Amino acid sequence: MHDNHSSPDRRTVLMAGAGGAATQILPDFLAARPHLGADLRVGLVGVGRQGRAILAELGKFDEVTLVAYCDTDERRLGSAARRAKGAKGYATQDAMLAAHPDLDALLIATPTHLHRAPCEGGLAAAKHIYCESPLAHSIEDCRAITAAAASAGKVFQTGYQGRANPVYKLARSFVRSGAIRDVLSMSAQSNQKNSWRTPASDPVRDKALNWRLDPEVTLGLAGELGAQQFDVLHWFTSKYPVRVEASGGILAWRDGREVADTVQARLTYKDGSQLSWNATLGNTYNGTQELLMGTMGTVRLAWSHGWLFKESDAPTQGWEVYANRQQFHNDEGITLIADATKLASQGKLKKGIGLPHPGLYYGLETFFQSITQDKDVVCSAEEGLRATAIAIKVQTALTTGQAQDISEADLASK
Amino acid sequence: MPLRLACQAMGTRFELVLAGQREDQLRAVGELALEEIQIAHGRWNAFANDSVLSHLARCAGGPPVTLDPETFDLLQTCVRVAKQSRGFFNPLLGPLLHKLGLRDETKLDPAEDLGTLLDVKGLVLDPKGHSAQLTRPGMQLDLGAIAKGAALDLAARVLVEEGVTCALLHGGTSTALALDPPPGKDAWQVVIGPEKHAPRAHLAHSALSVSAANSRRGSLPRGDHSHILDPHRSRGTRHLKAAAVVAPNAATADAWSTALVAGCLPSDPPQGLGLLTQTTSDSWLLAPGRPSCFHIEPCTTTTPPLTAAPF
Repeated sequence: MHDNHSSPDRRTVLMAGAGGAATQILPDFLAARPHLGADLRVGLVGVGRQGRAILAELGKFDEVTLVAYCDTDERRLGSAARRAKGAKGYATQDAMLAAHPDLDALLIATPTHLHRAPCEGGLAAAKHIYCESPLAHSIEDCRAITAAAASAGKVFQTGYQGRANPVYKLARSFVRSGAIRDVLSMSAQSNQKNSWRTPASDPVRDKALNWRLDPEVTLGLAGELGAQQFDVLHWFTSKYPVRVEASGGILAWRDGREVADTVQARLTYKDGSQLSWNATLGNTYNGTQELLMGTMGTVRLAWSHGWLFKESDAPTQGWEVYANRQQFHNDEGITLIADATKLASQGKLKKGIGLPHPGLYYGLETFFQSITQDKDVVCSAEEGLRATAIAIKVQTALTTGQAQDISEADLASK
Repeated sequence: MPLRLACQAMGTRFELVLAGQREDQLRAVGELALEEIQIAHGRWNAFANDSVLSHLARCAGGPPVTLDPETFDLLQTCVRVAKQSRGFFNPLLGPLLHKLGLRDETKLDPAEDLGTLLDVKGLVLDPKGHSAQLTRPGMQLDLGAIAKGAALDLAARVLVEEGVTCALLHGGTSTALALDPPPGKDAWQVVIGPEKHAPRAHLAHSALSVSAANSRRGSLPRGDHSHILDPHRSRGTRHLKAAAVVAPNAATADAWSTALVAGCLPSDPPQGLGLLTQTTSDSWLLAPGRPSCFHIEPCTTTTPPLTAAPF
């Protein structure tokens, strides 16, 4: 992967210029319709919550045709039939591939513990694979998927979306160019109010649909919510933790479940810095966000939005005069707007505040571009394995009550 | 004891009141219904860059955009009600809202004819391709007069599909949707307004929506009477104080209550809808020849509505 260390300059930071330029070329990320340069025929494996979200985004790609989808749950197949007009539904991936051997790519959105088989099967059938995050529920499955991806010679992208997100890419360029100087500490949270329970009419279906609450297979909040954030912070800093402690409990939903609904974890790095991570299913305050605090400023990320808070003694850049700012109690944040200069020149700077598509869209777009335009994969199987391995360690620390050391071997794909 | 769940969406509070046997299952189903409302919010939020509406606006003047089935169905309803109401319900008010300063500071092209941008003929729907096209650049959907109701309909569909049939749902206390009535009752009773003798609606497998002309007056340009716009005069309406509509589904009730306040006639809505209009602060009128869903005689009690908020 390319690692751009160049400083953000007037072309990438936010400016509200006088406008009036004749050009009407919008930044790529604001373009109404993406251009992939080739047609793609795709199949969707798993049409539950995440599969439905994928279906909604696929409609925005004119060159991508959803040919078929599959799911073992009959009711979900019925629901997908309503949403995926023109595509055919199947009970298994094998049946889907047998009927449609000409598919270019598969999008895997099965439950986390059921990622391995469709990934291996898809790669064996020479399909490009987009696999939702986390990569798998065990390190063994992660390594098996990584090995299959390495030998298949096909595009394999793990669905860690931060790496494809235009706001995050801009924020990373700031952090890596020293805008906040030395990173002292990081924190992340994922707060939502939801029991995580899916309604099911019988015990068999209940077990299948409520896999997130099944202690045998789930990675809990660390895997389903935290792994995305761990990946973002590792991507920003190129650091992986060496030790993790975690605690938590069932504090919000005392309904007989065995999986913690509220978790805190402390991830320690070799240089002594730490990432503090909190997640709960019982409170929505401040939602999902990540903070990187440095000696010259703080970057706050909230998926569709991002801000830079400067320390008073941080050097002032010329472009700051024109920056869009937002007040948060006593702190003033500079809004991070990708391609700000291009937008400002058209008097459209405010159109860049808040991304025009959900994060998932950018994950899919980069995957398709890797296939049709030979662009670098934004999150390989190996990268996916590392973030997933951290989440597995957090979950292990939580369930055992024992701090977990993390070695390089733990993060290796072999 | 009924279970109550709520979420914030579309700038207001949605609440579900559910009755059933197992609370954990009821909650799981209710959360699925709330998730449906959040998805609808994400798609139909004209203020958010990443909504389907914003995507359609960016594509205005270009080729058709393939839509999810829910959005496509909603736009079909919009076009139908727009025609039946003779344009007093209009889903394309985005440019007018900008012009009146009720939206962000985007400037309209002065050369662009506002009437053209508001013309519903410019919203072209293709049922075969499940696509929509805004034919002129600058056209912009605003579904504020129907989206809450449509979201309630989707949430109710989830409840029924998952076996929860006894429920009352509302969005912002202005639109309510009832499934089966509570045990032992023949309907959910909803009081329209905070007054002691306010009218009541009796709902079972039906929806109520109330639109009032003066509920957000403070944000309007001087001289306008209402936040509900009269699309033909490009200003706030001066027609009715309020209108209440009972319909088989919430989207229909929502759209028609707005259309009535905006200026359409009580004879415009299809037969089968219950109508109640308010011309002065103490005068409610039942539309003749319509289903008797309302009680406007002085009420004998002042029991608050189930949602404990004034409608």
